[in-house]
Amino acid sequence: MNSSLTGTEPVLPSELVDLSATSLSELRALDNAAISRSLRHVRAQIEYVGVTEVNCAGSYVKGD
Amino acid sequence: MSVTESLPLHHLSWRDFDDLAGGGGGGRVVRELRNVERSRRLTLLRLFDDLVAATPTESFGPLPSPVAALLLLIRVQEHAPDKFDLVLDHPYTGSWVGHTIRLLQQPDTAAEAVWPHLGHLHALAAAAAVHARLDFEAAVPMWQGNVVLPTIGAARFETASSYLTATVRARDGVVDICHGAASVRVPSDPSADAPGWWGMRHLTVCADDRTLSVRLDDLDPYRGLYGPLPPDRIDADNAVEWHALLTDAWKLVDRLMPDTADAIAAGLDSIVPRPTIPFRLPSASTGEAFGSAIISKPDDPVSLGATLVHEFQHIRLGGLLHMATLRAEDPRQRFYTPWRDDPRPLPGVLQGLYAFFGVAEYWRAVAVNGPDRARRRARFEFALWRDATWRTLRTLQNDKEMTSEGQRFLDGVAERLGPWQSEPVSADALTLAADVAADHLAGWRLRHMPADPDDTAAVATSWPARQHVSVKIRMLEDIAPTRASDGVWTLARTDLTRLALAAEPGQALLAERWTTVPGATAADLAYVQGRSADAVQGYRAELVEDPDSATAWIGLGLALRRQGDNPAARALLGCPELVRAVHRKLRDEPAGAPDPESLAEWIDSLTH
Repeated sequence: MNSSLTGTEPVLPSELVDLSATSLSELRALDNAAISRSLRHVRAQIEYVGVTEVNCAGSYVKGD
Repeated sequence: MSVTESLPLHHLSWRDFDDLAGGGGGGRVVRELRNVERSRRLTLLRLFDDLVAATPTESFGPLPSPVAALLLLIRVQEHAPDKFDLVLDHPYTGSWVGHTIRLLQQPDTAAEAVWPHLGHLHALAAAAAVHARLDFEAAVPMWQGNVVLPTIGAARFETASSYLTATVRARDGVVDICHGAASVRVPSDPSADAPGWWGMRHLTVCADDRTLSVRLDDLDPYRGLYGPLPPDRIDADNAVEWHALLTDAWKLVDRLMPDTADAIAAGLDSIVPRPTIPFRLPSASTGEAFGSAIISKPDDPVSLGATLVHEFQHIRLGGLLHMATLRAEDPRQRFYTPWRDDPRPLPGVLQGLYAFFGVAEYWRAVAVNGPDRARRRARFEFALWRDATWRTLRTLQNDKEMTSEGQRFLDGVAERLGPWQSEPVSADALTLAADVAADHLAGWRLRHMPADPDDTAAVATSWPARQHVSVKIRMLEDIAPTRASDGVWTLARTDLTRLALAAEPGQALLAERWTTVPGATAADLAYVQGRSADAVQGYRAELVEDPDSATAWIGLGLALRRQGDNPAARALLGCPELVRAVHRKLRDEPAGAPDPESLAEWIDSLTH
């Protein structure tokens, strides 16, 4: 899956549409290719829930 | 906006990407990630809306359609968009919507199991409307007598039923929550407790010119990792202790890692408090709850500082992963990591690497500029984690399941982490870190790497006459580890090492408290105190008592190594799984169990 990236590409591409200017009311009515692609993107992602649990390091002495 | 108008896609500049990979970018990049997260939540709400439209109404249970909650949210957004955003950005709005969509996508889920989760949107909408001071009335779910308004608090009612409903009524800024004839009035300061009401606590702590403000959330049903939880209220004294710990930890992080503090201030919204666990500091997070960290209360602020940095690394990497594909979703648990006792899948390894990369940076700073009494421990922690993360990084750099973007991300980590490998660290810290690392790796091999059956049989057959057979020590990447642990884990030697490091000069902390360390034996104490001969004798005795004891096999190898170059120690630490497997096999032979050290020494001679 590896290939080199030169760093000259302007941006990291994403499938997620920017909804910062879209109200919830408008969102409910949206029907275009971009939102469809974005919906597929989030739908695929939530199949996998990234959970991390770890013991960071013990702690022992009050104070400090 | 027209519904057919095209929408821009989110993007991140490579500069921001590279800054983030190197642990930088501060609040600027985190605010970018928050914008992405906001769009992601909205897109998930739209997906939820679409799924609800296809859901039978009986799945709504005793509550109205979730569409009513969406309409209330639209009112809130029109009236007070910042309050709408407050609830949308709430970490557990993300957990809830992910959990509920997964439920809706399972066609055979019973309506009884679905409606409280569908209905939680009514609670979110009601919370937003309360924040916006709207007049409204909404039915909401009640679980085990608790009606939680996310980000605000919880009303409590006496009931024996698991799931019921309640009504939230707001008029002129006065909010009542009613169930049957019972009613709870939300106090004018909702963060305060009142009869029948637990207010959401807020912790605001200040360093020189930077403030961290988080909710101490012990109420939200979706604050956990795997599913809904009832409230687990901590008492007022405990909350005060949290405030004191966070105040000091925040000052430390702000002073030592200002760029990271800037990022945390921009992105951490919520801490879920968990009880103190002696000698442990477990913490957790989930990518769906951007902005949340689950943390067990530590005893000291220096440890809390490490955990804040650790969890926030998870949070910002989780945000990046919502827009970038850094690795395949490879669920195979095929990796050793120095920070977990179980085999880990690729996504978990990447997360752990990035989190402990931040931890290494934190201890590096504490070792130089932290509180005096913390510096000795910090040197050890820095030596331990810089090495652990570097080894793991090199493993991932060679893994074919990392994408091009993922490799670039690793390069960014390496650029910062690489130079730390040659920074001077005191000899005692290096030795302790190497011993702890060897203990964990050998212990993991013994528990999760099955010995090759052919090698085991060949060595067992050759043992009586000491005939030479050739054995190759297997590399970690050569075999699939077993998920089940062949032997109980204890981390007693590591716990005792940290306990010794915490002692003030002249303080007999280890002698006073070693019996409180879970699983610690007299041999472990002797080993950590540097009494190697006593430790060897102790582990020999433990193996007579329990010849399967994983901690005793590894302890014997470590204690022998402390006495100088030792072939038995090489085998016990290099291929302990083979030594124990052969020992098990020979125990059943008429000649009986061989001497562990003699067997280990023989096996070492076969590996050259």
